[in-house]
Amino acid sequence: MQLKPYVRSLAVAASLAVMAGCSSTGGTQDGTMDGTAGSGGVGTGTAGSGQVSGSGLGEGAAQMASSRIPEVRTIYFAFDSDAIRPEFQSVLEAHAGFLRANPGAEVILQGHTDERGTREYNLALGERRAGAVERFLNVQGVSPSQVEVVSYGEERPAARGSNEEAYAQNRRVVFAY
Amino acid sequence: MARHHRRDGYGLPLLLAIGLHLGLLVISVIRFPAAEDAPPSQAIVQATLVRAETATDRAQQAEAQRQAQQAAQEEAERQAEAERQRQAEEAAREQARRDAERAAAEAERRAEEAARQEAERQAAQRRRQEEARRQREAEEQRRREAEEAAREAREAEERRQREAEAERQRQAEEEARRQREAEERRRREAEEEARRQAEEEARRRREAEQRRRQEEAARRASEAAQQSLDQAIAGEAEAVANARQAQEAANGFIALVRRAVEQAWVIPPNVRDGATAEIAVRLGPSGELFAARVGRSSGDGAFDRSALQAVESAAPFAELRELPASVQRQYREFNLRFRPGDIR
Amino acid sequence: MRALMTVWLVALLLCAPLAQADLTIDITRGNERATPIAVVPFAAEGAALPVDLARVVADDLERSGYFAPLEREAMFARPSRAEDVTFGDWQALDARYLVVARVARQGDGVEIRYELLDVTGESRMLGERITAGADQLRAAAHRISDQVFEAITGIRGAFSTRIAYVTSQGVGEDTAYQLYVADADGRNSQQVLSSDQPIMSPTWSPDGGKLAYVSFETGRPAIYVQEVASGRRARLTSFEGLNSAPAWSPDGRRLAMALSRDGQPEIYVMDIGSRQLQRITRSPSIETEPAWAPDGDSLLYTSDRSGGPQLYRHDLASGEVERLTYTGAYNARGRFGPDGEAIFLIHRGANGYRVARQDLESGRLVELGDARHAESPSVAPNGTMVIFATQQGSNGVLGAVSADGRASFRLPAAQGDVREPAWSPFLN
Repeated sequence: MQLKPYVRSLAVAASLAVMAGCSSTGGTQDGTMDGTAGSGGVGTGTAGSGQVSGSGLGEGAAQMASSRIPEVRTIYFAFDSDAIRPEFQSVLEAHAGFLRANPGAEVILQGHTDERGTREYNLALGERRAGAVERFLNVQGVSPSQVEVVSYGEERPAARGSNEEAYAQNRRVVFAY
Repeated sequence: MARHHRRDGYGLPLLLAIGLHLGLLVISVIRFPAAEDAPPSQAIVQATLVRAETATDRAQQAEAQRQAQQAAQEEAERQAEAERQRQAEEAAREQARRDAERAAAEAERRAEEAARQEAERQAAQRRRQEEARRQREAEEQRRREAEEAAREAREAEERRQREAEAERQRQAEEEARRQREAEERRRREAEEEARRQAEEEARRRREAEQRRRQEEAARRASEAAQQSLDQAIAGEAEAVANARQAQEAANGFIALVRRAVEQAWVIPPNVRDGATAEIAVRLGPSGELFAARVGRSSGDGAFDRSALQAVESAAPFAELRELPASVQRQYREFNLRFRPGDIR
Repeated sequence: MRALMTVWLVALLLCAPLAQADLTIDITRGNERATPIAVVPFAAEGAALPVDLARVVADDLERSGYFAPLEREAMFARPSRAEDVTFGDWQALDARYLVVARVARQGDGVEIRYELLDVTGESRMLGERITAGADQLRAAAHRISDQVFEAITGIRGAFSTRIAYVTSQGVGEDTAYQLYVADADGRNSQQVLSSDQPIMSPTWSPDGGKLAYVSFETGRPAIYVQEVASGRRARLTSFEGLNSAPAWSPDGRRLAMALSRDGQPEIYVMDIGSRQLQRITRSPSIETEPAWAPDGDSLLYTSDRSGGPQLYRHDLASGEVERLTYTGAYNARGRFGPDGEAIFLIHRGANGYRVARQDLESGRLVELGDARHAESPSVAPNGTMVIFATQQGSNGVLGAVSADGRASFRLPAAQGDVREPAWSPFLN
């Protein structure tokens, strides 16, 4: 059913991976995400996202000095899932590190879903995704008082369109500082 | 294959058997009295006795001879004078011996002859017996074969019959099934045909009725001068015809009403499952709608109204007038039950 | 002799009705089409009216799914009063009903005299005189539609009702959101709220005077109640986590909603006067999208406690819970029909997300219409139609389908991405 979009996204992701590898020096983050795009089928979301393509550049520095907000602020999810994919673990760890180092910093975890299904149920699903990230941060030692969850469900899509690419881009949790 | 061989093999035994029979017949006609005089078993015993007697006789004679010679020698030694007497006696004895020998030989010859004849007769008898036996055996064999053949034939026949019976039964069942299906098909087709033809029927009846009326009119005109006998007869015939046609005509009329109303019925949306409305209909003498009212409401105003409108829209049912006059009145009032059958 | 005669008469009287009742003909087939009706252009004195009233009425009746208005070109007579009608003309066109009217100027407004005629029954069913201001012409036409619809079907017309819906333009951070209220035919729309943050879940108070909705305008979701006429509003809830899916109780005193203040989204009922909150559900799963049964005794809601979203009914008195949907893996956002005998919901089947109706007694679920990506079904107050959001291209549009799925329509397109229509109750 979703094979075709996968193939297409794989191609896009692969080309982007090559581009990212060429253009960035510290692009490990980017490479990982694009690589997983092929296997996980959600990479298309990252491919189209401006946030992600820019992210690779500053990542190394962000991890070095926890004084700066990590550049990668969006992670993506599989259909009907709130599981944190392993390739995004480093992103979460970076944010956890930042929040631990900056107890005064606060973040809103914005949960989003794709447009399929009913809106209010999707609002709950978006909250579930953001909640999964919140728990991860708490386990990493981030104070609960620094983290708030707001679900937007399908109300604020990152991409329009009723296709797998748009869906993959919209199933996300955004770190809003 | 084997059966074929055997069947082919019947020819020869049959011929033999027939030949034997014929032979037996001829023999029994010609030789039967002789056979009766001397039963074969007796003859054999006699022949044996004759031969035994002859052998004993010979041995006794040899002994007698030896004793006689011994006695003569003893006599010569002891008594010379008795020589003449002795010679005489010897001569006499010799004579007697020769006679006896002759007689014995004769007897032997006769006996042998008799024995030979007896043996020949006996052989013939044996041959006959053998022949009879063979014949009997052949007959027995033939009978057995015939029986065997008959048994086989019987069994084959029974098998054939059983198979034929089974086949017949199968065919009968098959035929019955085919007939049932054909019957069912015919019935359905007939029903369909009846439905289809209902209108045609009504039309034909209408024309017939019209024709009849015209004829009636013509007859009345021509009968104006005549007496009422013919009219009475015609009336009688008409009554019979009407009675027969009344039901058919009524069926045709009902089918026509149903069709017209179904065509005119616009079923509203959102009808509940099982919704049923009854519209009571009253027609005028020409089939015009005198009154239509909701006799039983479905509880759904839109549905009731759609039913009412279907009747109003389908009316008039002028075909009422094509019914025989005697039954028209019956069909001027009826109920229409609206119940969507295959909605959704 | 007289006794004998009496016996005879009694016997006759007894037999006669029996003989009549004998013959019943079953009618089991008909035409599943809309009933032909002719709405003759209203005869107007003087200058033409700014609104084609007969067109408004004809469109209303057509969108009900019950009627198929006759094309004007087919009308070879245009009577304006019953006395001028020759029924045969309309019978020939197979029109079952006929609406005729004449309009007279009256100050700034108009006086409309209209009549409804039964063409097959050749009778007058309805006659009424309506006065309306110059700005109430469409409302006057909707009133005629209501009266005609009820006279024929026995069902109260819902043409004078309104709908609320949400629109959005743009994408990402620049998206703009609006809440609108419009006539049931999509015309006469008025903006109720505008925001650069999402607006969700508009729902009408039972008296039709207020709307409850969810707005993210503070950056977090909160439930607001707003008077439609005055625009005055109040924030009812802003708990931590979800504040979503408000639903007014039939008596208008309580609001059911989904809150995640205690962890997972659960169903709560708030007494609007006292703001007291009662928690209804308690489970580690998602519970949301509450809806009241028409009698106010139970709540319908979506829960994924079985693994996927399904509909459950919670009896408020006993606390008993019954799962209602078993067809398919996704059944959500249920709404009761006004008679409480059926629920309308979003069902995901082989054809994607569709509006469906489930009869509660039989449990049978039927997909309605053929719109894909359908969302947010909302039932007309008379139960005959369901309005919902669907997609046309990449934009959301509004569609309507008859409760039995036979007739479906697209509503006039508002600008932008339109969704979450909510049908108002009867307003007068």
